[in-house]
Amino acid sequence: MRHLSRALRAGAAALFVLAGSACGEPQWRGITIDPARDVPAFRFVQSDGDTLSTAPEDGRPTLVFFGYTHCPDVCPVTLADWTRAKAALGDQANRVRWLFVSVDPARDTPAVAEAYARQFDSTFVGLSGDSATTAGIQRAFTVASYETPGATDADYLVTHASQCFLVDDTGKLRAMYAFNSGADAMVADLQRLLR
Amino acid sequence: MTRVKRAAQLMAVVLVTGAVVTLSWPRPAVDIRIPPGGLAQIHRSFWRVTALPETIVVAAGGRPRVRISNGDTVTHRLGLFSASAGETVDYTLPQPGTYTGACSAHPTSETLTFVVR
Repeated sequence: MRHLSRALRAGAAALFVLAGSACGEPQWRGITIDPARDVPAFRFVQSDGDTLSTAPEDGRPTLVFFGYTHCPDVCPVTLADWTRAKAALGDQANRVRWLFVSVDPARDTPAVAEAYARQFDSTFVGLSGDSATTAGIQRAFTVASYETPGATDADYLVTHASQCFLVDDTGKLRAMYAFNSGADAMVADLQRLLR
Repeated sequence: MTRVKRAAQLMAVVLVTGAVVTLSWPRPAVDIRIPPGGLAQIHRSFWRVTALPETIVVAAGGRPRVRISNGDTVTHRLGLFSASAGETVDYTLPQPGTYTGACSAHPTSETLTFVVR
């Protein structure tokens, strides 16, 4: 009987350990990606001729969103969410890199993308690369986009993925935020990374 | 005889523990597997396998997980989610909502929608 009791205790302890290990680390408020995915760095030439690298910077998480400046709906709403997130973060927001990457490099020159992002906040960075860079970074984030014909050849729309991505300061993609999901989850996850 | 009895008791405890762990271990709410060839399937409980529908409804209890196991040779997108060749990824959904995006592993549709409610 004593042996049975000991075995039962051992079984209970094993269950406790297994249950504990199943709980894992605290969860993110956005759509969590497990395992976190390494994102390669890309280099974009800016309108002033300088090069901006998306390589991780110590202590600086990055929010990345793919869009285009002619976008009638998703992009302005998302960048407006970013302005709310930035306001909620206060001084901490200065450590966040906010990157808007154009999926329409044919119309969005680097200057156009930069000006578009700056309309929302002076610290938001608009990036537009050549077609190889654009395709490469979209592939790295597995972001789809394709052109939809408009009234004229120059008036096309671009259907594109609408989520934005949170990359930590080691270059790991940690979480995503679906379109129109607001700023709260973004703020909470950024605060976690900025601690 | 006592030794045999003890061994039997120990074996019973191991079996019960194993069964409890197996049955209670957290599973993804949706388990999508992409075999070579790239047509995704949903693996459900009791080894049932069904084709990928255009809309997947997920119960919102807790934080539902979507697991994508890509056994194909190329990266696939499934709505907002993706998995590289050979990769298994879990996506944990935070809140009720509708998540739609392009799908490269669907037999008949170019989009896939997850509804969490």
